Amino acid sequence: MVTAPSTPGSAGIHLRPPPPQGPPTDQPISATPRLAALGRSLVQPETTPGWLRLWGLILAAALILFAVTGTLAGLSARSSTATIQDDTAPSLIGVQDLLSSVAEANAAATGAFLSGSAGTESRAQRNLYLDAVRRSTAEAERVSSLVGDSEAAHQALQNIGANLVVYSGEIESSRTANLAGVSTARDQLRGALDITGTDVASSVVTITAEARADLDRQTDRGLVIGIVAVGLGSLALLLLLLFQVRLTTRTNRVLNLPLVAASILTAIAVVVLASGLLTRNTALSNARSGGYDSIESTAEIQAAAFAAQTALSLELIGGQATEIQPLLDNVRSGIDRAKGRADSTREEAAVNLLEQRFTRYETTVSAIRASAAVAAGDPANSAAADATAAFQGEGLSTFNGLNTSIESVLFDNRTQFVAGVGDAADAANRLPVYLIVLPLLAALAALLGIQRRLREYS
Amino acid sequence: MTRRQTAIDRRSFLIALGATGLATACGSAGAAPEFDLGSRSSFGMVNWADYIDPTDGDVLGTVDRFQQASGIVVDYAETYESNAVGIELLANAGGRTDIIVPTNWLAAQVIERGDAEPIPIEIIPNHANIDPQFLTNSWDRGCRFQMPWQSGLTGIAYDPALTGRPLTSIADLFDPAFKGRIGFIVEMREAVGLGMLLNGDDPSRPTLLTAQAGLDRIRSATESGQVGAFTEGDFTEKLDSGELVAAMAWSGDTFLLQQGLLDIAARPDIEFVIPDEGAVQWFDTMLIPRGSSSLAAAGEFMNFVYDPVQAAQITAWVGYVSPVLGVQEELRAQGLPELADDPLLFPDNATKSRLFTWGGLSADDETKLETEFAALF
Repeated sequence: MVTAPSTPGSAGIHLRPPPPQGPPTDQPISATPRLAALGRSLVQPETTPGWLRLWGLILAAALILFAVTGTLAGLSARSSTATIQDDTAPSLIGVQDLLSSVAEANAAATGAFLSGSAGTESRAQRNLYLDAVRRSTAEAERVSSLVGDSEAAHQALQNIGANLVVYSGEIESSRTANLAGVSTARDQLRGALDITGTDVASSVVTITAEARADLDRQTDRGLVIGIVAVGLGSLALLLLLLFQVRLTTRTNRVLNLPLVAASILTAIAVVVLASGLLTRNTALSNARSGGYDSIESTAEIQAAAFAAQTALSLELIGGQATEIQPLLDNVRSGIDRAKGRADSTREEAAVNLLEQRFTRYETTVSAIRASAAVAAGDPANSAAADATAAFQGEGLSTFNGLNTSIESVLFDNRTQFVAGVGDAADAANRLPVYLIVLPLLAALAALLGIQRRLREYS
Repeated sequence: MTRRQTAIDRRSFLIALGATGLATACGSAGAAPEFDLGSRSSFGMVNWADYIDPTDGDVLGTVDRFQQASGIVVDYAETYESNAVGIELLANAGGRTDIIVPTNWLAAQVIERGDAEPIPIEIIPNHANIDPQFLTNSWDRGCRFQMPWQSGLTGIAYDPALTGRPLTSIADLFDPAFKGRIGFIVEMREAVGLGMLLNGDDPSRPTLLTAQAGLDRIRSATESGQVGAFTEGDFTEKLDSGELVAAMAWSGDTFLLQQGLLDIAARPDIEFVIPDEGAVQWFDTMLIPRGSSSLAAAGEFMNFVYDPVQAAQITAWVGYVSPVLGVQEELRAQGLPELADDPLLFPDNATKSRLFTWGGLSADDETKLETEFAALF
């Protein structure tokens, strides 16, 4: 373009004529010719190009809507499963660990107390107690970082923290008094045990209930939008198929490959979404029934066993019979339930080992109690010392064997729970990517297919 | 560490046990697992030397009894000369070794690294026979990744005629009256463990600080000339010759010296004591390296040797503490009360409460201690 200034008197230079004037400003501005054509087509769907363009818009909208809702459903499933995997499941397991650590601390503290009153405190029992209290505190702190926003759970954890401090103090006081031969030592010990039996236990129940409720919430999260997305995907697929049938009858064309590809991609996306959500929920359901419910159930066995061991210690300390048998019966019935629930050869074997070690423990408890009963009838008899010695030896040994067997079953339960949650996470993780890519590809393919038909009319 | 055999002639006992054991094994070893644990046809095992009863004429040793009863071929070798061999075998994962016998501290490291297969308890009902004292190790609670093979104690052996008094404390090893005539074991965890016990620390819960303090005890004794020799199993010869008056000692080797089962005359006068502060207990394990393709066969063998009848035969031959419940009763039933009542083979509960198994430190800390300890000899 010549850009020389247009100055008066300049010669030999031909200036470009000014562009034509636009319409008068009081007239409406018309659309570009292409848009105008599209507008004409859209308002004239009775023409084939118009009809094709109208379908193009409908299909693109349906597929984009499917992509959006599917992606949202996938993101929601992935995020909620990750929350279960990272927070809810560890907190559920952590709470059970906390409870069993406290129960173990009780059993070990009473064992150490008994040996202390007999003259020499058992180092092994004392170490077990210290370990168990340390684990309890650590578990409480760990769970605290996992329970999320639940006010009730945080309050319960604060209570546990405070109670554990009081409990440890009471145990140390009773230990000091016991070693010094002070008669109130036994009452202090009982007071400490009461703290864990009531306050700590009720707080654990609260946290467990909160964590289970969170598990329910996270499991259900994204389910509604997932169903909507599957519905929209199915609708989009239906429209695609319908359009192809109409196209065949209207244009006498048998096959439009891009439209077929779009249909296949949409079908895959719908199946991926539906099966992904189904797999996730089934895996979570299995993890819960096969894993977590078993964890709770096995933890009950463990708590009953610890309670029996504590009761045995108290019986030997106090010289009075306690209600041990119902606790042992609880362990036995728990083992029977675990046998019925075992769903792998390894789990069955672990429960069988547990049963054998429990039977051995039961026999030992009976022998110790028999000696103690003889001693109660005849204080001059050395049976009391024999019973205490037997408790320190065989009693503790067989109990430890029993406890490690329970831990093995718990380990299997946890593995199953964690694996189930892991399966759910695997199923959910790739959903968002698939559900944004596949429908959009389908939309592009559909538009391409329509464009190919439109070219025949240009 | 040398695991010495007892050259005791127990032929009649072995025959009796062999017959009983064969019958038992035929009942248990033939059952095929209902799941795939790899090959059941054969497996390889590398053991310490003289650490299992061998075939003696017509009397089958444990390995041969197992092969006969189960039909499983055992590729058995006694080339586990030290735990360094175990480390090499583990480094060559995928080899033909399906059971190795690392000492507890190495087993702990292997398990922590994830280099051990889980014990196939599905086919080892005799897992229930593990003495509970071996079930509570923090590094493998419940013995899920190893099963103890044999166990021993590291305490004090001494010649009362030369010491002139009974020795009851670890502190006695540091008595200047015995300067230059005290022996220490070359195994770091046992020596440092005794040093820690002397300091009032617990070797089953070591920290670098307490372990260093235990090592300092050994170092100062070495530098002052108190220590006459660092030994392995040869402390027996040095005690016998009078070169040493007292030594850190392994229970099994002392048992052999007392019984005259070594190449030297019996020395029943040599005393073995568990010091007032306690003694260090160690044990070797049966462990299946990760990647083994013969878990089924290896598992059946583990089940076999955890039958008290079989385990009693092994105990009668190797002279170490068996981790299998029921062995003591089995020995008594077979008319061997002198073995059943031996306190070195079957420590009572009071003794057990004074035994400490090394608890383990981080790999870096253990390497540091190993290096410092090795510099002493």
